[in-house]
Amino acid sequence: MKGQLGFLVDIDKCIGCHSCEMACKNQNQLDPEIRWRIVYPMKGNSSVPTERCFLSLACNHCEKPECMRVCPVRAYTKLENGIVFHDKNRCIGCRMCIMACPYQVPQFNSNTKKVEKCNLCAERIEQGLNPFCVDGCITDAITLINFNEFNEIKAEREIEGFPNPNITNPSVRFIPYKPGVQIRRDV
Amino acid sequence: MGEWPLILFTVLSQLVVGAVGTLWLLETLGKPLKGQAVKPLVGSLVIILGGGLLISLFHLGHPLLAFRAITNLGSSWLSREVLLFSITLVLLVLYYMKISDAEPNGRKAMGGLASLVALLALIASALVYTLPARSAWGNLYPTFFFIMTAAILGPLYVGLFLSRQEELPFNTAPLAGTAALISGIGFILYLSLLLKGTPESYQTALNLMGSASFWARAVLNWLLPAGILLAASLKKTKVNQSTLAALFLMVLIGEVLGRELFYSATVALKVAGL
Repeated sequence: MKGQLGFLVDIDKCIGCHSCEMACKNQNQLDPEIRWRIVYPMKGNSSVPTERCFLSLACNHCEKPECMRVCPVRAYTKLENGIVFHDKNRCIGCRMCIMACPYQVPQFNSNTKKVEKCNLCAERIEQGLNPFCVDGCITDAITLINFNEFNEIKAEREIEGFPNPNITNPSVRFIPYKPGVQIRRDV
Repeated sequence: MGEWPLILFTVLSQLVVGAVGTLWLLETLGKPLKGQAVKPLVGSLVIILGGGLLISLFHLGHPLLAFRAITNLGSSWLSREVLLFSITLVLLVLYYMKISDAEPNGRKAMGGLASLVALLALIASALVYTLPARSAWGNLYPTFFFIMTAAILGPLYVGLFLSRQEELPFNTAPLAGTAALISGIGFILYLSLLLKGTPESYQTALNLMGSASFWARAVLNWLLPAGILLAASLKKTKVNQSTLAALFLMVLIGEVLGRELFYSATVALKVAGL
């Protein structure tokens, strides 16, 4: 598959259950302290209620990945399908990518002394399957998208709490929270 | 406090860059220095830089695979930094071997080449940290501060090393005093830039100013050296060796404290806000 794969995250559908996080963690057999996908509670404001909104993020497989630029050992490769692939065998654990990623995606594994991150389940994608997090989401809040074919007009590139996308042009889009209509009934 | 290998490597390597540059200036602007005085100085720089490079390996998860770190010269400043400092080390060894009173011109050229590559290595080192994800670093200030560290430590080290043995063409200590003054003023401007910047920059400025290390550094690294050295320079009195040694030690401690804060106080961009 060619193009630029990424995620569409529907914040309106996400209920913060962490199923995506756990599906990724279990199926990829990650060490206890490592999470390739993280569900962040969003900071509240007048339009985002804190108890309701979550931001589920993994690697954003950026168009201009900072991790790949700064890595001194070429452990990162941009695949034909846009996946930013991290090769653990090349990594020497310098943690430069951790410093450079605006989204705190790469994580240092203190057991292997190497960095690791989401590879967008590259092997599953080769087989025509979805990433584990997409299949694990019980509300269909995460969708795998190909940016070459993607034209959802409700999707937004920037959302409150997400670092400036102009730095790396991340391959993720968001459907924002839609405030419900509250009806006040006089008793 | 988890970045000690990087703190020590950056400060020591910058000391070497400043020292080799100062030595080259001394040899270029005045008559050639005595080989027996210069040789131990250059030898000590080889040991300091070699030691610094060795210490930096302990930052890696896999130090034995460090040789791979020069495989992304096309885009990684870390690769370039490692390569340039390794070349500097080789040039310093050649410089050391070339030092004899018989042929001062050849060694002057070697000193010039070593100074140039060392300066490029220092700039590469600063650009490693010039990252958009860290708004406190994503500007020219890492380069400015790294150069200032070299400009304060280098002349003091050379002055201390040669003060007993040589009649120098110029006194190196006021150079360090001027650099300390410029560095201090630069830091005030830097803080004002951080306070006016992004929430992460603002938080970094608060972290810096709220730390006792910062104020200790301000005294040890800027106020005392600039005051003592510039006062001596105005009075046209020469700073004696024990004062120079005390100043060098103070500045070294100040630089180490400052570098520790450089790593620990900086706030990265955060998902879901600060």
